Amino acid sequence: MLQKFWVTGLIIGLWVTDVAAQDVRLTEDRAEVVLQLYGAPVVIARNQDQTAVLTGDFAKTSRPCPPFCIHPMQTAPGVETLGELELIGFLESHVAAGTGVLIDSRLPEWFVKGAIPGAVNVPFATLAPNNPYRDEILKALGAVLLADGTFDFGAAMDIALYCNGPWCDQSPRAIKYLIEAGYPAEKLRYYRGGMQDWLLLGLTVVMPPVQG
Amino acid sequence: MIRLFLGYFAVILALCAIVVFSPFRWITGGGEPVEAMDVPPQPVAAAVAPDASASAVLALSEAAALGAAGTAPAVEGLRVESGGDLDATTEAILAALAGTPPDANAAALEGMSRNALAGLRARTEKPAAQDVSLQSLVAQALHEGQSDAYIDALVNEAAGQGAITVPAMLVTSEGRVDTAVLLATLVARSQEAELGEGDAASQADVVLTPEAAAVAAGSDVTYTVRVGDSLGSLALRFYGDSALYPAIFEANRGKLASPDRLRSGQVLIIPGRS
Repeated sequence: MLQKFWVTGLIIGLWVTDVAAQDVRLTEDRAEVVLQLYGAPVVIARNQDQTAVLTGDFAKTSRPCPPFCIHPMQTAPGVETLGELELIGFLESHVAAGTGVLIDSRLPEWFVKGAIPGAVNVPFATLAPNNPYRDEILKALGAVLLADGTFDFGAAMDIALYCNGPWCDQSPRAIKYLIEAGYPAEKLRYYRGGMQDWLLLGLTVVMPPVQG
Repeated sequence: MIRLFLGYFAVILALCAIVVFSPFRWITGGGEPVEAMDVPPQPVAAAVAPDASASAVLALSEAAALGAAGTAPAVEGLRVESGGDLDATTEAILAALAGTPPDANAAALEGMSRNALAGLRARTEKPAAQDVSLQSLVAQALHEGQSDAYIDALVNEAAGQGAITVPAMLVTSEGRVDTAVLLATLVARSQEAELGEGDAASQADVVLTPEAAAVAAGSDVTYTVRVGDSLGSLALRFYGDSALYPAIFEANRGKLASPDRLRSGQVLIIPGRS
């Protein structure tokens, strides 16, 4: 009888340790995603520390609104809104294939503190119509300047944009600027969750080198 | 009666504390994270109503810990909460909203645009990125403060891989890229820019060799090509300017199939400057 208890205890003990060692996976099917981005392997996985909690800026619940107001799910007609899995899917299908780019539309001081792997920092202000370098940025995104001064976006990159979170104005604003410049809405995607949701799920963050 | 009044006063103080402090700071600040997650952000009034006693006690203890329930500590707390970066971000947003940013912001915008462009081009123009120009390669290396030897090795490696196109005048008798001439020309150009035309000309006069002096006087001289010479280096040596190499090339058309076909031992005519 006592032995039976002992064996049961052992089994329960093993089961418990098994649970503790279980991975924090992306989905049931995928533990992590390994991508080949810009010639280097990039792993997107989740923090395996099950006691981890958010701290610092991204633990805040309440920022003054305005300017940090809650943004709608749909930021502009025709612009698809992405969740984390769709964003990872975009990295796999578009960025890794060289037909898309992930844009971090925050200011550089935020970008260098941590960004989504593969992201390029194109601050929202650089896409504003008053920026004299905007046309160059559009060209770098694959737009072709026509003789009449307008752009042909036929061969332009697909873009996914994000900023600090669902309360952040910067990626919706960047999307607005791009659409106003003629960028086709169907080439744009909005990751509404931004850094806050990305971090909340313990997903991989890279520290980009400080530029210039 | 006085006790009752004091009791009411304490409750009012506690309510003031809740209103003045950002709501639920005491929940998110301490306690279990799970607890904090379970409590959805509610309006202040609603939070006070259902369990006023519990909130009041907790808030009062926090107020007591801070020393007083006045406005001074609350303002202090708020100031701490809004970080410096957030201020900068907000300011930048406001500047962008204004539409006409002051000069400091224009410079920041330019810097951000440059970085954005560099980042985008590095990623979106992958095949083109290998086709760097000789100019950009050298400019980048100079910008990094690299030595002449480093630049020479860098340029020759890139040229060896066919990654850059090199002007024929810079190809030496051994088929290498004459980076010395390139760098000397760059130095001469920057000196001209600094000193003005006249000063640069007088400086060039000082460094002329006897042969070069003869050429400068208008007479042709013959020159035997040595290892490491290029048309650019000869033009620099005899005329003080590598850009004048076509004169030498034209004078030696019979011996040179193209400006990059110099061989050591060849005897070339260096036409005098008329």
